[in-house]
Amino acid sequence: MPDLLRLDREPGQDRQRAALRDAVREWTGQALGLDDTATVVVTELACGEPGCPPLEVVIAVFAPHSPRRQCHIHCGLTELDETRVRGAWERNPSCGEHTHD
Amino acid sequence: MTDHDKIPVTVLTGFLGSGKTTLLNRILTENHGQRIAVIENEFGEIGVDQELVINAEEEIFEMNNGCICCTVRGDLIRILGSLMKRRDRFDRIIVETTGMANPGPVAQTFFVDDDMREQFALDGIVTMVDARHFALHVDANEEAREQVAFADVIVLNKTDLVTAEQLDALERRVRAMNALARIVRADPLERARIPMESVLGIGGFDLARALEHKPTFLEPEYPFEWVGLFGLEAGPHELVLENGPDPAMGLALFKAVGGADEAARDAAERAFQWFSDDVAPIPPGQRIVPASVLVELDLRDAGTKRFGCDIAERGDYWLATEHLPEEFALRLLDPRGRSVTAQREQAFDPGHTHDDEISSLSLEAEQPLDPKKFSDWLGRELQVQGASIYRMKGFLNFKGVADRIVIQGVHMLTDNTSLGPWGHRPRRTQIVFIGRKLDTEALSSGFYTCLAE
Repeated sequence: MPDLLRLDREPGQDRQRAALRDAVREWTGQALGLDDTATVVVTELACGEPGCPPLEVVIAVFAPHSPRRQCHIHCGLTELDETRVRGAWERNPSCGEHTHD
Repeated sequence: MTDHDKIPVTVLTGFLGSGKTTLLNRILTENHGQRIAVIENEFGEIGVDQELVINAEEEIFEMNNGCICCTVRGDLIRILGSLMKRRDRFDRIIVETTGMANPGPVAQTFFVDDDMREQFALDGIVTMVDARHFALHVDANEEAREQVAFADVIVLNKTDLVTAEQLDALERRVRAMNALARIVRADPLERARIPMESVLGIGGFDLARALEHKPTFLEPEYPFEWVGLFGLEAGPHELVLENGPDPAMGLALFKAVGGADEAARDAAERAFQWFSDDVAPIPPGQRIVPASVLVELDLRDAGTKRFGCDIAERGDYWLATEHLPEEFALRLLDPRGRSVTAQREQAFDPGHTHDDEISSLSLEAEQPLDPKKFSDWLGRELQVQGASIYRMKGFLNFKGVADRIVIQGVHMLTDNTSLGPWGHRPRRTQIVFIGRKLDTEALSSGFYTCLAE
């Protein structure tokens, strides 16, 4: 179960996560050729549904006059690196999505 | 980034014709010194005269297919991202939703990721209610019920179109659906006119106020709405009442057990049994003596009504009243004619039916919580009940944590922050869930397993 309240998270950890999100945005921007008018949202979600991974990162791209693109990577934010992010976008812009019945 | 650096966001909801745009125009023309960016989902019949108005087209984004807890508004994300590049041009954002909008995805947009939480603070959800047509809307539309349930502030508008009794009944119904919201009545002479401080800059202060002074949802339903403790001297007192919503009112005046320390709930439990008695109303001019009995006041006469009240010995007395004292402008006068103020008082929810399926649950504990147990329990509960939980708010008292932690959430998404040390406030956890068909048993029993050993 992820630490929902993040009470014992050191300030350094928050900075590390913020830096990671910035990096994910940058890797996403490079992979998709985005300019600075695009908004990239990076969210770590926990899912308790049977068969779903406990944590996933959803990356969503909102660019003016373009359809939304999103990508799901089945791991926690801190497990992400450039290879996984670029690889996810290269495979499929809507890869790894899971659904709830 | 501290909370002060975040951009406050007010979400303005309300059913069609409830007066959202009128209120928005009032906010924009009021002299509050703030530059406001407005995000509108529709151009209404009344235009909004503002430099920074952005029109949005509702774009629902399910981050996790089929999970309403992970559903946000893509159009808002686009606009907020763009607005941040013009950060120096405004101090606050107001999002005006369409009448049929579900406020959930709008609110969740501000909790959806850490970056959004760092840049924006959801200052409040303000829901406009058309006093005349609310019953019609709320009976027929889930969105209207959700707009009330999600609200931090509920503005009863168009109050000139209903009677005082209808307005009281409306407020009760709204209160039954959302025990935590501040309810504001708009000026009957000028629609949508309300004090600006009741809708802007409400933030955490309103939560503290609501939890500290209006925890009516904590209580079982009693056949009376209020108890107050009075320190009275011996001698003839007087109960004075003005015109109110009922031609009669039951009350009980009785001595406190153990003096001024008796808890209001204990007093209410004692009074509970007397209120089922069948008694004849007494007319104005009659006298009351403290006793373990129900007294029914006949209030049919217009104007001021006075009842004698004989206190044989100095001491602490409880007064339990069927209606809130302010509904009759009730005053208790001492032998010299001076108004006596209650030392302590507590309001209770009137007996109502939960026909709207939307209700509030409050959980409270003096004993500190174990942070790990609480975090795990809440995480599990939100995964199971997140779709039913519209809002969650509270103060948390954790073992080993010096600060008062405030938590709030929308469906499955939460945010918590420190409010600094507890200081003189009693360390106590209070958490409120507002939702539809909440599994209150599971929430209650689980919560108490989180207490620290």
